Amino acid sequence: MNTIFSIKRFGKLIKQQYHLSKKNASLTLISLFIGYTLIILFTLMSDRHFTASSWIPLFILLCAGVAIPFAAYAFPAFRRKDLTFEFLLLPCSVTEKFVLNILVRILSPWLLLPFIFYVSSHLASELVLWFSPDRFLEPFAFTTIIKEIGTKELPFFLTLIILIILIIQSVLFAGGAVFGKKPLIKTLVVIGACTALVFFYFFSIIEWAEVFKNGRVPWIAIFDNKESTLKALVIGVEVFVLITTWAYAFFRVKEKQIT
Amino acid sequence: MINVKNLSFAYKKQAPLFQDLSLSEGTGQIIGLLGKNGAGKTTLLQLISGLLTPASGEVLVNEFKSTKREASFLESIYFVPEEFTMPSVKMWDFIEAFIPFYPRFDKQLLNDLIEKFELDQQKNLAKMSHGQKKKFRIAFALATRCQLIVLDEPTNGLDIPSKTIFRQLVAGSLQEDQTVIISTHQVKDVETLIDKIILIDNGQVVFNQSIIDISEKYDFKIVSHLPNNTLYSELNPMGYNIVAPANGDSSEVDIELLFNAINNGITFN
Repeated sequence: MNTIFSIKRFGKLIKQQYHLSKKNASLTLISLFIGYTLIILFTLMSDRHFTASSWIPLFILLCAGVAIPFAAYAFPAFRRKDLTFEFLLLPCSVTEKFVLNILVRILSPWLLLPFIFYVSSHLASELVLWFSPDRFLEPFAFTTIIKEIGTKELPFFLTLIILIILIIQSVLFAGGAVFGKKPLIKTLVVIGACTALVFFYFFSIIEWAEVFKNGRVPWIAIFDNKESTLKALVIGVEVFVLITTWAYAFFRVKEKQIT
Repeated sequence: MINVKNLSFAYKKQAPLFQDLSLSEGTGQIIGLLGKNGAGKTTLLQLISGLLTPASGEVLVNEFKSTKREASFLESIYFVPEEFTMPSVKMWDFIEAFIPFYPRFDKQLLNDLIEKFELDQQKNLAKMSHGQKKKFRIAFALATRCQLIVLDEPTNGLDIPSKTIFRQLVAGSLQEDQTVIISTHQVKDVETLIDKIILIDNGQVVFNQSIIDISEKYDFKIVSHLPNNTLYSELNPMGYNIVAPANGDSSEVDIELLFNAINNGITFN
């Protein structure tokens, strides 16, 4: 049998997760539905003129507010030694265990949260209109987000946004694989420190080294300034960061020990 | 079956626990892994299971390098740790969740063991007492029919009748190609169960002999007066517990006395 990834074993792993987590997963989804509906209800009640575009910040806030901490608490077994023990000795390959966590912690929120938001928003809208029919309320639709981006640049910006969200989730996901305790806070601190370092670097080369003065050109300006090249570069960097983050998380899981 | 080659290991910022330790064990035995507190019994079991990576040397179990933790290797080993948490699910949900991972799993044997341990199948595992959880995990471990079953302090938390049942079930449920390693400091609990004793101290195997060999070579008895050929003795209310060279007959091995004798520097060849 394949030592790296076996569909049969992966099926067993999904079945195992179903048997062990079905109760908790159902309760979580029901709680999210109730929570979303209540938050949307209060927001709609406080605004008598709710346009289609007003849904966008609420949609982003509610989906990101759940998806980000959910990714940061990936590999829940690593929070406790006895659970790490069970995780490591479960007869599956590291790849199978890792892919399952990617599916559950990163990709499943992309399907479930918008769906729950959609149902909650329509339920809340119906309730508000039933209670106060004279108000202006446009229902939520996914097409509103597409319209906001604009059709001309849609493929590029949609890819850009999806990759940025995936990177944020993946960095936090990697933090979940690295830090046993309080992974969300620790990962945010590390990201903060790295960002500060990058900003300091650019500040120092631009301000102190006076790179743009006297006709000098910094390395960041060597690319052809054509729009398509820049777009390809941005997407390329994002894909590279995403793959690197996943690779780093994978090797951290592979080398995990009982300590 | 188990081949430990020149194993060295140290926890971070601590003195080495094992240095150049080697060990080779075949199948079809129940091994008692004994040692003082902190001798490294649990650590050795974790190294054998691939939960820890040695600084140098290697551990092979059925020709699998344990540190790689390949799925086929993990299918052939079941480890019951001293402390563990059970998920908040009913017993059969747990069983249905884990059975597919163990190709030799014997459901009938599990049913029998659950019955003998008098466990309530309808109860939520998380709500069971520590002793009940332990009995369930031991029953599950035996039912997996894994080639290597590792039990770390299995009798901790078990009541006296359960300890007796434990010994009967372990001895009666094993197949010829299975090996059980029991790590314990409660040597009396496994006295009539184990086939072999491995004693570790100061990072080395200081004793490794089968119970049959020991019983044929040495006499364990209670005497009122110490004979001249006594190798080691301990006072007891009736006189002395002694170990002496055997005089042709084999006697039942007093593992606790043997353990104390070795820890007091007596050498048994």
